Amino acid sequence: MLTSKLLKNSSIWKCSTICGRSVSSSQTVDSAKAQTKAATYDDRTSIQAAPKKLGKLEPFVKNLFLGRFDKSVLAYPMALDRERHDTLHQMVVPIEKFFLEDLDSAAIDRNAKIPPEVLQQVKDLGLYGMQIPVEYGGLGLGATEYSRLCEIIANDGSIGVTISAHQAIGFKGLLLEGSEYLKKKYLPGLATGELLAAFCLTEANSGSDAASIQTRATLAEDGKTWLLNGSKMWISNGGTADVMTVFARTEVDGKDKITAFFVERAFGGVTSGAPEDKMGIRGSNTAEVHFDNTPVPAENVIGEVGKGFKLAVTILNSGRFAMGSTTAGVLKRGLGMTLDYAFTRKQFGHTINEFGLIKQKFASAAVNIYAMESMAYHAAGLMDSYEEYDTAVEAAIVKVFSSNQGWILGSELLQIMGGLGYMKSYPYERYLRDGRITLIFEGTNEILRMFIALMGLQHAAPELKTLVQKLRNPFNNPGFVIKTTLRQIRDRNDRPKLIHDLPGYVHPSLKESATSLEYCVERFRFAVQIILSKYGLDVVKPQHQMDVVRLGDMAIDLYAMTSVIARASRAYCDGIHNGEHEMLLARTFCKEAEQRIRRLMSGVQNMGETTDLEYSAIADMLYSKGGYAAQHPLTVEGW
Amino acid sequence: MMFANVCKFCKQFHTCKTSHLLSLSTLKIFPKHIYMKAYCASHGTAIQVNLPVVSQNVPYHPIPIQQNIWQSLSTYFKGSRHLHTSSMHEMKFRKGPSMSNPDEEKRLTRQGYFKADVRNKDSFLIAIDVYKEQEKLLRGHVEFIQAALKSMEEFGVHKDLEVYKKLMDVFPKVKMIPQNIWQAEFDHYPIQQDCAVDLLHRMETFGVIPDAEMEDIILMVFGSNSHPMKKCRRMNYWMHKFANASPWPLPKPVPSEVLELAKLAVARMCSVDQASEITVFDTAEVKDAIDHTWIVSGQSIHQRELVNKQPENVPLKVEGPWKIFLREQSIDYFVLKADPLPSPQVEQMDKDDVSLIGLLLNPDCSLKADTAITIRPSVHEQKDGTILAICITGTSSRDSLLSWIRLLSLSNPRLEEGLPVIFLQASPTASDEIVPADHSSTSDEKKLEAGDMPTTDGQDASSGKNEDSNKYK
Repeated sequence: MLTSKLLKNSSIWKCSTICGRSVSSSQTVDSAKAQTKAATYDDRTSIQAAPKKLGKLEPFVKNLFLGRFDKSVLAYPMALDRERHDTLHQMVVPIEKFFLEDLDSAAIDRNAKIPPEVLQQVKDLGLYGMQIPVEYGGLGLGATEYSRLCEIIANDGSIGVTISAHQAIGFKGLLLEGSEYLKKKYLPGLATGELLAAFCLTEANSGSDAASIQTRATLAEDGKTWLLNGSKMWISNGGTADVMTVFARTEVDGKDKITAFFVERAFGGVTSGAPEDKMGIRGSNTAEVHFDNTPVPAENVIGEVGKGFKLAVTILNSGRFAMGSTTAGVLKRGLGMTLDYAFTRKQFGHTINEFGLIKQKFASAAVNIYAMESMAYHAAGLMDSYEEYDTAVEAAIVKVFSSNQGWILGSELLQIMGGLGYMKSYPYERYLRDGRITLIFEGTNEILRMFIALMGLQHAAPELKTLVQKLRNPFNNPGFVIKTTLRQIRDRNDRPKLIHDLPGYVHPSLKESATSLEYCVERFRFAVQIILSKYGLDVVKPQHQMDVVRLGDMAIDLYAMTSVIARASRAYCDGIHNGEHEMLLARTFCKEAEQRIRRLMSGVQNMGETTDLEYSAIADMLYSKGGYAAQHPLTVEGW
Repeated sequence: MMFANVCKFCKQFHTCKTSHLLSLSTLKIFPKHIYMKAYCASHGTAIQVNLPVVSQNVPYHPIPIQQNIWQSLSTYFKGSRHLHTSSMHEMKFRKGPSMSNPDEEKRLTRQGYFKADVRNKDSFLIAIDVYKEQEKLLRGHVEFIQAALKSMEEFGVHKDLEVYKKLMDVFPKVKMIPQNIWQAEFDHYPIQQDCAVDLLHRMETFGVIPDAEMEDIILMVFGSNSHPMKKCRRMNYWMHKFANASPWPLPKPVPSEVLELAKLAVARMCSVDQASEITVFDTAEVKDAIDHTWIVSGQSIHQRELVNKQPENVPLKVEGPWKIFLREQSIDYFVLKADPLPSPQVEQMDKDDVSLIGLLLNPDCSLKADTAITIRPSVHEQKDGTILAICITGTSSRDSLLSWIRLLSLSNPRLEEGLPVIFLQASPTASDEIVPADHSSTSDEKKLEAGDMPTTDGQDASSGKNEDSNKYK
């Protein structure tokens, strides 16, 4: 009795089950069951070898908008079984060697061209078909493994972008919705790198607003061929791609709808402009692509006619998660290089690593790298461990956080280098230039922050409908107001009741951080209520963005806190090397994140504390004057 | 609840509320009585405090205060593992593993399985297979396992997880899983459970960590509410932490090649200074070297600066050999050392005079100036001397050390210019074969003066008998 009680109560057992070191410990024994099934353990090992995917994952961040917290995500996902884990680590070795030792990234950047023999080596490593299933000649990697390899590939921005434009978006449509015919025809060539793919969505007048594209496809008279007309802009691999996923307007039942086509350059009528000269990722090819009556056979339509916009969004959503590991990979390397420098550089009789301000920079870099890494592999792990999932918001969060922090931290690390970092003869400034694009492509960070907020609100709105209606009309619903008064008072006074018991799901040493996360979750739920009752249907209006985007920012920090706590807890329970350090990183991150959320929350709760209105007025003035409107400081009146 | 957390370094007692206590991991042994493991934030890496913690500051009661009859029963009930599966408890309250049981004579019958001539892993596994084959009903499996445990070291399989798993798999399945709380509470099949705990205890002693499969086997044999399972889970929780506690992780197994071992050892010792550079020299580069061997040398740029600062006439010393252990393997290393520097004279500054703040930016009195603030001595400047470089050589011979100094002088111009170096190879651990002549004169100091010719030996009074191998250049 005592024993069973102990096992139930002890938080350690809770942890060890949660952290799920073994498959078996979670499918805990039911002795009766075990008795009926008197198998020897030899039989059971075969079951262990292939971990089954779990069923459906409820959208995690979206549910946060409703104040619901799915505690299962606090068990940091372990997507790889032992075999895949070992294979991956073997795979990493030659790729790492190639990217760190053999590659001359400086020359690629200088000449703005990747030499064909280098690309051939990349193809030989199998990097062109990482996520293509094995039966089509690819490596058949899951999201986690893909993220790990991207971490290395990112050491050269140009090659990284070429590869990810090829497979993260270029032919992703085929994998998601392509017909068997298309898959069989193209995937083997794409996997070996014989064919290079590109993703043609952006147009001169249609960037973030993808629904407004003007390229048009019309059905030819024979009814079996589409004729494609229009031009696309800033297409990665645009000048070099052999095949392209092109989105164009088509007429379906009298309405204009977007359809996706898989177009070969060989179909004819495809021309591309000169490669653009860019700030970073200079080796990658970016060009305009023009289609002039390009004939596309009807079987080259990806998915259904008229369902292209949804496909485009799905492709973009599914590719974003890898940016977290990508940025983390580069930053980790940069951190190492900067550390080496700081150890040897002496000023005022001290090596500069001893100075507090430098320590601060390094530490903050480590904390944020830890967060972006945790999030990236958390999201990827969820994708790999569930059959059905909706991680669009999580992927967007990973992208926004990592690209933003990548720029900030990259700049801070460069700052430690001082003048050395600014010189072209060292690689540091190139990393920074290459990294700048991540804030812009695959959905700009501003759009994505709004996307996070609005997707969550959209998810929460049906359930909050009656609540918000009543909140907006308190005098018509006195009964409701009285009933919820206590909770409202607690929420208003910043004393939310913590009901999720999150500390019970992580290692006891993380109690403080878990409590802080729980507090933030409750505050976030209240923030959603406030925003919805403040704006109602107007939340989507452009003028409210400054306020609404706070929800997006809070959601980013919430997801970061969750994944960081989950990872550190698992690391410490497992007892891995430097697990203690991970706990410290997690605690530090949670402290900072809580401060940020508190600040954002006070903005949501009390507009007077923000400068939204002032910013709005200032911007309006600038617009009306067509520029900076204040007089020159040397202007004097009344002489 | 009683907390006992002692930071190993500051020797202070912390409660879990203390702010500088970074993390607490509880090991619940008893609902009313908790022992803890503590880490101290102010000392960086994890400090392992043995469980249960005994300290001068904290009264430690090895016997829990009894709350009721059940608890007292389970504490003193012979063979009880209800509360304690730890090795500490084993030492204090039990007579040791049940292998030292007076019944042992009877159990010796099972040792016949382990009398093979060839004693290796294969024959051990065959012995287990033979037993299983002969005893279909698994009669005497406890005695068999105890006999097996006894002979594991002879077969050299005492660190092999696979073998332990195979042994644990000998137990009959399902039969011994408790079916109700009474069976769970009072030892169900106590002898078998004791035997399994002994097996796990043996693993713990040799640092073998049970894996998920081991847990599966125990699950099938004893169920989850059993002492072996509790022990196994606790081992699984703690042992990973112990195994990874070292800040200098070593590959498993440690390389047997001496050069690789030397690189690891030098890297470990050099980790005090991140700016250290580890170089592998070949003595063939040195002109007059007798021994042709490798030298792994570690020196940081800060140590090079210290060499430059050494006074002209005070000789440096090559000390050693000393031993460094990498797990079970040891290797000899040598140190180039200088006499300790006098501690810097610090001119007292008036700390209340805030007008001195400009110090940092003022070119006349920057932080470098000795007048106001002195530079903190580097990690290499210890009380017993300043460590300038360390090395491990392939032969540990005096000649190879001489070659080392010559190779070092390439990057340390002061050595080239004639900074005297003395070799103090006095330790009996030095290899007898390499330098037999010098072993007798243990207290001798051999001077290496730059510019001395190998032919001259007149000046060297203290070691007149020595061959010219002591004096080069």
